[in-house]
Amino acid sequence: MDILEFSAKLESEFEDLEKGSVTPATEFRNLPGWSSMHALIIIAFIDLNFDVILNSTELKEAKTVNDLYYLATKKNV
Amino acid sequence: MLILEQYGVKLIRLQKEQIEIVRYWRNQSDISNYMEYRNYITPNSQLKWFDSINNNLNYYFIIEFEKKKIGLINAKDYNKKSGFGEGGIFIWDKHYIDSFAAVFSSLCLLNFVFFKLKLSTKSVARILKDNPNAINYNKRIGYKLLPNQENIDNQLYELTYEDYVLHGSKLNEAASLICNGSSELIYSGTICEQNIQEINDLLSNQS
Repeated sequence: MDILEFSAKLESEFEDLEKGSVTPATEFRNLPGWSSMHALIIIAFIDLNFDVILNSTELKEAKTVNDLYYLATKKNV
Repeated sequence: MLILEQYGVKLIRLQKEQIEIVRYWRNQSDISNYMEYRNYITPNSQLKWFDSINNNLNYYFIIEFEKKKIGLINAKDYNKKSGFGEGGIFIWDKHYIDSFAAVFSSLCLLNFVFFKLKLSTKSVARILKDNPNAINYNKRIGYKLLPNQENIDNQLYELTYEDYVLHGSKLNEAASLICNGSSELIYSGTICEQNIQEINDLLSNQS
């Protein structure tokens, strides 16, 4: 999965978002209505697609969608 | 006394000794502004409120996370026909507002209601329509706005068992991953008249 597909799939996990609102540069915590619930959804999404479990510290340090993608692909080696 | 534990959160049934801490935080403007009742709560009115909810129809729990008391969660006005009460939550400790504490607490209470008690097939929540974060939060769990609520400020949402299974399973799985695969829901407490019979039966079967 490349970064663009990753962004698009992540966007579809976050219902109620306008199409194209999630890009690699998106700071995901600034998405409308962000809560810890979304963080859980990200963890489940990355586990499902990369068989990688992000821990709380890794998630805390990630800022953009690109950071998430980097973490997921780096750990999925 | 009733204690529920899952995903590192501990929900401790509210006791009289803790009502002042709840009153203190509930009176803070950044919390009361999101509540329907916004007047200042006096010690006396807090005590009256506690006396009105300290029974088997109302379940208020202090949320303990990382050994700190950080908020309150509830299922109130239990009615077997209309579902297991009205849900509500507030986190007063700002350090934990964006943490997993709130969602873990919600999952813990709902898992107890739907999967342990197995009494009700639905739960409801009232959410102010100008609180998009709370609306979004509850929709993620599976709550849906009931019909004819458009012109009401404090809107009524419903969570069915089926919707909770659908939406909650993914959240429960992720919560379990974060907690290193540990997802066991532990409940403990004492048999008392403040519990419905079914809860007392669960506690009784455990001992």
